Amino acid sequence: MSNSRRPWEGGPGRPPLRLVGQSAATEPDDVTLVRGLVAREEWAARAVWNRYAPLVYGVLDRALGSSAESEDLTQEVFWRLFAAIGTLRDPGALRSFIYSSAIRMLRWHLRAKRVRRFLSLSESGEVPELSSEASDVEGRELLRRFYVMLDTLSANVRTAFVLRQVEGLSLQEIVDATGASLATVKRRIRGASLKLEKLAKADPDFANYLARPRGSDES
Amino acid sequence: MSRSQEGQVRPPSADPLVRLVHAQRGHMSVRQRAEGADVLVSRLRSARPYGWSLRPALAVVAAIAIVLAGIGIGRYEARALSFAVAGGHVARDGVIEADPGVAATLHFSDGSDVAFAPGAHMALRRVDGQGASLALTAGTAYVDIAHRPLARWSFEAGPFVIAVTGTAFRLGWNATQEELEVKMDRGSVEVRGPLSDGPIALRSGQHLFVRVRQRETVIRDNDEGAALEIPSEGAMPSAQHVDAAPTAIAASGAVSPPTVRARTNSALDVDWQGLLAGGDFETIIRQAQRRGLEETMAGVASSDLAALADAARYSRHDDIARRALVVQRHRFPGSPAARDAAFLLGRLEETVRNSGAAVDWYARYMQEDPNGTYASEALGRKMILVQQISGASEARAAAAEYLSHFPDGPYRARAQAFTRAP
Repeated sequence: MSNSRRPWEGGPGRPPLRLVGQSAATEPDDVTLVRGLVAREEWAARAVWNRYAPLVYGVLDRALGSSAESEDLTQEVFWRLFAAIGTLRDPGALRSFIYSSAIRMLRWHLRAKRVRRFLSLSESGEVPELSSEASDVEGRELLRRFYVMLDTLSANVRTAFVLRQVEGLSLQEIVDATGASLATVKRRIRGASLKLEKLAKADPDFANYLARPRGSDES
Repeated sequence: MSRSQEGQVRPPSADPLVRLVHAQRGHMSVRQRAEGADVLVSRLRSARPYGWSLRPALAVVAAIAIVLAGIGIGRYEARALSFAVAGGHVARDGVIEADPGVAATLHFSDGSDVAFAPGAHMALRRVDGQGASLALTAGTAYVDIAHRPLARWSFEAGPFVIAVTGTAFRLGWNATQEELEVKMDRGSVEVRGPLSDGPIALRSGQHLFVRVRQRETVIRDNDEGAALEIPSEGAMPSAQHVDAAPTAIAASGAVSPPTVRARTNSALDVDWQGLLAGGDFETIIRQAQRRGLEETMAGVASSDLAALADAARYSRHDDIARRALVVQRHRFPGSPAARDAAFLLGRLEETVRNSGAAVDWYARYMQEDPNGTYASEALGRKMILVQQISGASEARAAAAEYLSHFPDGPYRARAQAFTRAP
């Protein structure tokens, strides 16, 4: 009988014959993804979603404070992306294209919300939900009040403020994402900061929480 | 009031607030991402794509392709695959002929590859937009199929047919001894053949051996070290050489639950994974109910059981989902799907505020699959539930455990807060 190992005997054997790379090595780049989207390939739609949905959801959720709204808007961002993919001149700029689309969607949504609130006699404008996983009760309440304050800002002002203060974008990046001039972006951020500071000062609990000394938990 | 370098007015209170926002918002979970992808693809398939109405000629071509292919293709459909042979060529009858002394490889335009060991003989039967059909008449091939929704690949090996959607595996066929071997690296396949009434579902990490003459089918798990080797004539071991650990299916085809990991009941002839990918959850539930839930769950493949559980979860049929996941663990113990089921059962229990049971399931998942897909979620959610049930001091240990495994994970801020709590 041969000494060579039988498949069902297990144990270490010769390395498998493999002439193709592992899945990680065959991850498509953005140019390939764009080609796939233009060709209406479903695999490309899934791949783009998996790669960029967390980015889009993240900025929307931090700006809106609502998972439900953020999920719906994320879907819309990608839905419109697929429709407009043919207008993307530089496939290598897919990430920027998606990010700009997300910001446009955010501004549109904020404008629509303000209109609905203005027209509706019953809608209070409060944030529909906050993270139910927050262990910091005070922090949860603080965030609730923060998003209520953000709701007092216009769509463009709120967007500029969130992109600058929450997302940490540079002024030029905000200009690129929103299409507004540098002067307009500066004016919007300044206006938002002044208004929010005024609102925060008028809310003693809010101001007290923020003024409390923090531990060494910088991250 | 402070000013930034650009002269912007920045309220002094912004920074701790920004940290709070980043800690508590903006984290897309694995579940949200997976479900979002399914919803998006479902919309793409069912809606009229932007601009499609401006291309009537393409719509006509697509309609003809549907008729010719004889299958329902969604509007969002790929063109036919192209391919090239490295180290050989395809003859007129579809037989792939390797250059002398060279091992040929078929490269497809979707990124799929089929590589042939020296001496292997394979024929290309069909190529279309969804995939290809190939027949391995002798020898060994390594198959690496790119995962795409609606992908449809099949490999014949003697009397066996291996159906593939997005998978990497080794396939061997010894025509003289009538022996088949399928060793899974990634994804899942279904193997149909003369020794089972229905398809045998294989997942990543499983290794199938079939000896037709002896009417013996063996499935092993975690057989990472075994090389693919189709023994030469006269070198076959007798039956007693088969390791007791693998699960053997008797020649009669009878199945001995719960250790057997192959499906031998009649095929349900449904495409639940396709329906799931298309977002048609209710159809899956209705089909299972029509056939009888218990009977269905006892007979379907692991992949279909997972699809049923997912469809039930997404459509809020929690009882069905729970049952399907429990059956998954019972029928296919130790499989990747069974391990994932532990986490999903935890999520279900958490949804109905059964926190104690949820903690147990998350703990079990971490025991069975500490490096699994859901490990960060399981440990994070367990930590939060422990804090809710038992208070801060109990949560501290769970938080420390989380931070040791996932120092940069999405639950980091909460874990840090728990470790500092008095």
